[in-house]
Amino acid sequence: MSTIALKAEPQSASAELEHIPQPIPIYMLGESHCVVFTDRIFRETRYLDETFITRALYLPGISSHDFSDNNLQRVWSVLAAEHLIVGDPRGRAATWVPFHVSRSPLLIPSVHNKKPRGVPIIVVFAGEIALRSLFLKQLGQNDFDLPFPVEGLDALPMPEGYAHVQFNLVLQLANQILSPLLNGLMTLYNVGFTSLYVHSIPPPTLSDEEFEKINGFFSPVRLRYKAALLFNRIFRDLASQTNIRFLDIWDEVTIHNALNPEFHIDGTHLNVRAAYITLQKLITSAICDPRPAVAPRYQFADEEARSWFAEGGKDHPYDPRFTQAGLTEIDVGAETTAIMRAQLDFTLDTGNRHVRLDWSGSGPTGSDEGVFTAEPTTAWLGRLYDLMYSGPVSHLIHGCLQADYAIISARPLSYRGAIGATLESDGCPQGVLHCALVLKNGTALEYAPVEGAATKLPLQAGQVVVFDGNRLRYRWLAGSEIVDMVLLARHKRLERCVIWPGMNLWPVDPFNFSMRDFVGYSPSGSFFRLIEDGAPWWLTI
Amino acid sequence: MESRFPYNHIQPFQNWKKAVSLVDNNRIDPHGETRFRFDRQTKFVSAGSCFAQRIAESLQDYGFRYLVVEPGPPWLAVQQRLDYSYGVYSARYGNIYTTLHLLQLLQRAAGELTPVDEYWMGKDGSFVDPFRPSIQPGGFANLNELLTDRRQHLASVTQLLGEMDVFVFTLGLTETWVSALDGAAFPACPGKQFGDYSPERYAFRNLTLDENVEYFERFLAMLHELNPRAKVLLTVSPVPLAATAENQHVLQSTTYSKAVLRVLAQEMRRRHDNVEYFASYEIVTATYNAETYFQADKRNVTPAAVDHVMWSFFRNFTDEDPDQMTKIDRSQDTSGPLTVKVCEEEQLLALINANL
Repeated sequence: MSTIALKAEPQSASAELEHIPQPIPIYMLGESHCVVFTDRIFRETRYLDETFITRALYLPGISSHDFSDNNLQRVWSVLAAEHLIVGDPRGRAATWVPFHVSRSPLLIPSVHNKKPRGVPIIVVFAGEIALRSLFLKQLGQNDFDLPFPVEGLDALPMPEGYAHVQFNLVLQLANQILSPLLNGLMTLYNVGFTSLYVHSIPPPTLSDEEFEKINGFFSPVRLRYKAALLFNRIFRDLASQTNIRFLDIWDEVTIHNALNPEFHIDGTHLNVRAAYITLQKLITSAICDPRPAVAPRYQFADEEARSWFAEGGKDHPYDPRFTQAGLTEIDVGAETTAIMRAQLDFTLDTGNRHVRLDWSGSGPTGSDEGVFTAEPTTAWLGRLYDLMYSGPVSHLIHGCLQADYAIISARPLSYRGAIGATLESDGCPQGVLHCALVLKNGTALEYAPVEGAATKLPLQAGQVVVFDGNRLRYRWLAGSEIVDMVLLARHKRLERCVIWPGMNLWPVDPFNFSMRDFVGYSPSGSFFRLIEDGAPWWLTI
Repeated sequence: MESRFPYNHIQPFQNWKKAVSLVDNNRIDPHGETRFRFDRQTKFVSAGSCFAQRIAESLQDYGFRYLVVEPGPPWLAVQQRLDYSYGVYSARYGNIYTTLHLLQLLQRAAGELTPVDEYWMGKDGSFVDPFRPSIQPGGFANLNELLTDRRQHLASVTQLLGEMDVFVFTLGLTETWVSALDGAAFPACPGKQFGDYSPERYAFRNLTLDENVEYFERFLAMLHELNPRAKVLLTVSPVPLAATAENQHVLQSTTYSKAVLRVLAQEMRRRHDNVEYFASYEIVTATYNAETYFQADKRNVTPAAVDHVMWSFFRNFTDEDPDQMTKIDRSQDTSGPLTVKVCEEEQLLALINANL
């Protein structure tokens, strides 16, 4: 027996790691059409300068009926694996809650990637299997006319020997097949996945032979196209009736409504070039389209903040005018206001140039109403802090809010041109207050109860108006200059602070929101307490 | 000489005492020798007034071969198929109350007649087929759908009549509304639920015996061209008129109408060897079962009446023993009717009475 002498390994130099900031994930969920999106990393440079990664949550063979409430388990499971939802921690019956609406103040994924947990973008790919395996099969030897014109459809050969069925009966079949999917999408939306997209059905192959080979049955090309167009119309209608969005790339991948051969890959799926089109449209929509505020975490934070304030035993009587009319005011003097006004340069339009996916707010397009803003300095915000958290104003706001408060948005606004034709409510989470410091004489607020006549309120520099933008409809009239403020009931994790949030309104997450690109002031220099003083660690992280 | 007396050798069915007096009311069978015998391979097609729906239904209930060329989309539930008149009759022609309508159906299918009334507008903006206004709940969504469906329907009618063995037609009415422009006959008067009535545009006709004979002769001639071996089994609906447009009592209009149609049937049988009469009218109206064969409205017939009719049909036109026959379970069947659809006549009655 011979032995082999082991040579001494040369000592390796340590690998060098370059840590790249974690990209923002986007979840592509459903049929095999999502697979092309597996781990695609890209950077959006026009608005956000952020890196994204698409995660493909492929559920083989998933069909419409898998989205029914009884069968949604497959979807829940894959979302749980991505830390997008959490079950009942005490092990009760499955009650899935999205992380971003859970009442947990801190979320491990959120803390670890140092990003606030906003609403994840989910794109659902579903309905195409149902179209092929159910709809076309059940349609059998029946043809139908679409009730809307489709350019190029006449160029496809007319099915021979097919009976004609009225569209409403065909629509009924389509709705029967798609209703579990549509209901499932609504379930996902209603539990809190409010950045939810449903992707268009891709144009089918133009080859009858290819279709039959793949699917094992014959369906004429014209019928296949009409079916796909019908399904996409149903998705579009769903989007028009709900806040679920329809991500439609049909026009981009077809020529005269027939599959552009440049996107053909296997007779069922589209190629990666089509995926890039999807991403282009998706990100544009995600940035530019308005999103609803995510209320559950606000509401929980609001409840805790009020409870915490009440436990403090402070005497803060209700402000009677605010209680009755939803609006009250106080004069803090024109002198301080004049100094603050002089330090502002209203040169920025109110386009949301710092749009971030972790904040809700208006889109990146500049206002066409002649509304301008100015970027304040930290020192300016400090002056505002002193004013807004001082005795008389503080007393007034406590009387309105019945809680301590944090000014999580303070934006100087100058209304120079035309103003909105209608009065609008804020639609912000319950408990959020609106407040304005008037910077200029001649400012005027027009407001009205949700149902009732409008009142014009002339205001002078130095007045502070506090109002409930959910109870009132309002608009600032031309010539007004104000510091527009959004106030939250201050949770104990939030410091008293004043934040200029760029062009945004308020953060998605009241516990934990990114300050990047913002300007803020707090006496302590910090804005959040990540771990509650004296709390066991397992209650906080 | 006495043996040559004509009544000496009459058969029992010719003798009132033997055929009627001594027979239980629900076993009176007003038939003699019939020309046809059918079996379960015979391809039946039926059309006519509302009562014809009952015959179509019963033929299928007992497992006979009832041709349906417009079965409708396979995904429709049974009740929905009924609502849309799929399988109510062999084709989706709705009720055909008059001989003129029947003749014109073939003429339209053959392209010999293109009525001016292409469509009627429903009150809700939908499009209604004037020749089958009840087949489509809510009407058609647009004219193209209506015309496409009609083309398909008329082609199906031609196919149907060419394939069948026997055509069961229930003669329903002599009163009809026609176009004053081209004489097209409609199963319902426009003006209430659909279409706009005007005396310049629409006219009332109460078809005479001669007219009925002429129209049915022309129908038979066209049918013969399509299908020379086709047999025709005529019945007269026992259901009275819902309302009459004649200025006379509705009962007088009913007896006139039924008398004309009954004579027509007899005359057609006399003239043509491929035509037979099935006495469903006599079974329902003349077997002294009025209280049990008519519903409370004294108009619509009861299931017991239909059972008696079909018992007689199977007894006289098949080699099967109707007393041994059982209905099949068609609850899952998607090819034929399960229950009776509302008739235009019923709808007319409802519309009239809604204003009382």
